[in-house]
Amino acid sequence: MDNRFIRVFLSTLALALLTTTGARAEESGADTALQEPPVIDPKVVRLGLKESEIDDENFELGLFAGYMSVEHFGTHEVYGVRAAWHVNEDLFFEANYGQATVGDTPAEYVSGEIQLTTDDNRDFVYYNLTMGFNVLPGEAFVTSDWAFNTNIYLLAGGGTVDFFGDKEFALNLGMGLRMILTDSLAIHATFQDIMTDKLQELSDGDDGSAHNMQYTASLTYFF
Amino acid sequence: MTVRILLCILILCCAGTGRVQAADYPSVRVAEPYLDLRTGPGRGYPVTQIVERGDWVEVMLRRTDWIKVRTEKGFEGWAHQNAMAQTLDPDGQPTEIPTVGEGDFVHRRWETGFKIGTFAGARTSDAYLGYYFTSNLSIEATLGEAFGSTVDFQFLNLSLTHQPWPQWRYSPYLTLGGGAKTTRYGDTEVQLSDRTDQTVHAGLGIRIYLTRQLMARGEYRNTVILTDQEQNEESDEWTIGLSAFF
Repeated sequence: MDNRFIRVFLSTLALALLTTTGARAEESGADTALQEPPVIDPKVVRLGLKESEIDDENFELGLFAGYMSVEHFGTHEVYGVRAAWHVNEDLFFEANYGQATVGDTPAEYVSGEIQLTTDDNRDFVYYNLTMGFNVLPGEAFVTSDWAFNTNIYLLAGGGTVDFFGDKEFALNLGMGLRMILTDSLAIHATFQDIMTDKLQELSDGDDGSAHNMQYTASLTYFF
Repeated sequence: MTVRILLCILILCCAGTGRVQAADYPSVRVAEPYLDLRTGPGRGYPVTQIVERGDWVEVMLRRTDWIKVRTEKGFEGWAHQNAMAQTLDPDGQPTEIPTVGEGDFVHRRWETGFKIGTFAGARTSDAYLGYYFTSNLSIEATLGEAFGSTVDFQFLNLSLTHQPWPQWRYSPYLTLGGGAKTTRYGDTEVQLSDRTDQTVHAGLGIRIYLTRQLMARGEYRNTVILTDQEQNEESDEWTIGLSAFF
């Protein structure tokens, strides 16, 4: 009887000891972690927003095509590239390069014989740096719940025109409509007047400036 | 025909530009009572949605001062950077939105811009790039053209500029340098061949900090053109310009 009692007592004790030591082992493990925190935990990952994680899309690059009315020469196709940097919601800077090839002057056309200049000089090439002002932001609704952001902007700048064997300074003024299709694509409809001095060869005796009007459509990519 | 080719190129160019990568945007939590979301990146676009305090938004992209975000419900809209700066990042810290201000003007490293003005009576326009060794000293390369009634010029020059008070909003500077200038004579003159001469110049100017990354600039330059003739030519150049710094 005693033996049986001792055996039960001992086994209970053993069991109790085993479970408690096990539990204490676990506890002591947790204790050491609590009592001795590392000075710097190398595994801590800073989740904060990094500058590089926000995708800046302030530059715009694109191609344009349209028609240009070159004074004395009629209207011709014009092509070019444009690049813009958007400073803030109101202001942007733009660089343009465009080219139109014109035909004969009226005098050449009438006579059929004379050549006032070489064919190379019949390319109306211009480049300019322009300031743009977004003046009328808005939205164009295709359906009642599907809309594109738009902006009407004004343009003013200066640059160079290389035409008829002469390079000269040209002022440009214009306005346009930008429609943002996606986060990175936009289309524009732009009207610009590129003002030069009148060509001496074709002048009608008046010293005023020549207005070369162009209207173009462009597709641009924001990045 | 050419129009069609151009269109094809455009379409090809654009085909690859879509945002392909699956959106894995960082998130921030609204800490103010609410965050206004507009339909576009500008004050002229209407507020059509607000995000409540404690809600998370995904930061998609940034255009000028505006940040496009997506709400937990999938609504997309634009919030101003100042409002976004009052949100909390996943660490619970205020979100850091980098902006450029007047402080950066003093510590700029690069500067680029364009100027227009008069050069020896001709209309001139040029573009330049500058690099600052210290906040006082910089080197600048300028490429420009000037068109007169009978002559055209093209020029390229290097200058060293010194600004004694870089911390001033209106910061005057001295410039000194040299380069080359090509002169082209128009058809109306007695036919003279084009010539390229060396130039040296000294000048005085002012940079005015405007806003953000922008400054205005005005400059006077006296350029001496080292010709083959007995006397060197001298000409004055006055320009005003607009520049950005980085």
